[in-house]
Amino acid sequence: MPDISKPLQVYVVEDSPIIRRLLASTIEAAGAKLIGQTGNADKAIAELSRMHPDLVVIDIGLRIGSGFDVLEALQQHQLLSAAIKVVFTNHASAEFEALSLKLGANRFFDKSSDSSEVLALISALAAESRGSAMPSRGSNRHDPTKRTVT
Amino acid sequence: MQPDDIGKELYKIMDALVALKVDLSCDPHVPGETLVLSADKSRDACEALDSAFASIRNLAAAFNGGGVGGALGGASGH
Repeated sequence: MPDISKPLQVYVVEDSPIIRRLLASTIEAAGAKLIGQTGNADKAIAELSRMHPDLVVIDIGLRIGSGFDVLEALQQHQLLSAAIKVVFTNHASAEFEALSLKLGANRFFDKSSDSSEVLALISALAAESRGSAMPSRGSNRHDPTKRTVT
Repeated sequence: MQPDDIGKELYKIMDALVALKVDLSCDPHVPGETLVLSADKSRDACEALDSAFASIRNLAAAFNGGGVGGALGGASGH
């Protein structure tokens, strides 16, 4: 019987090499696949318009542009509507969280206090993806629409 | 150094501390007797410390008048 499971495809929008390394090692350890990463909003929008990740991790402060630019472009062009979009940022204000969710983010994580949580989410989604053709969006345990209080 | 640049350096420090926190397994649920730092993790943690140190040095130089000892245009060494 053929194996219909496929690794979770992850794209990372993050300007910090250290955080990119941290996310990449978590993604690899979880058996997921890092299909692209950049710290440039324009490049992220261009690549995400032709890639089909299951999960996009987005920082707000970027080298060029911002995570809001990326979320806004995805929303405007109705790209990756099925993908889970997670904001992982040091700009953890209520205002930024509200704007992120309004622009289509499923979850909002504060880097300083929620790093374990976001890494656990990646691992859980990767495990779900290995167990089925796609991550289960209806799971109560990791409901991507559930807001994170920071 | 402009306010924007100062903010960027501060965020670099925060990112380095986030990575360090993960490398050190600061999660309180990790059992007390667990050994958490492999040589690889230790190197990653040191890289994070180096990054934070470099950013703090840049900020210190900027707030100190642009050079070591505070003398603008002096023998700053950076």
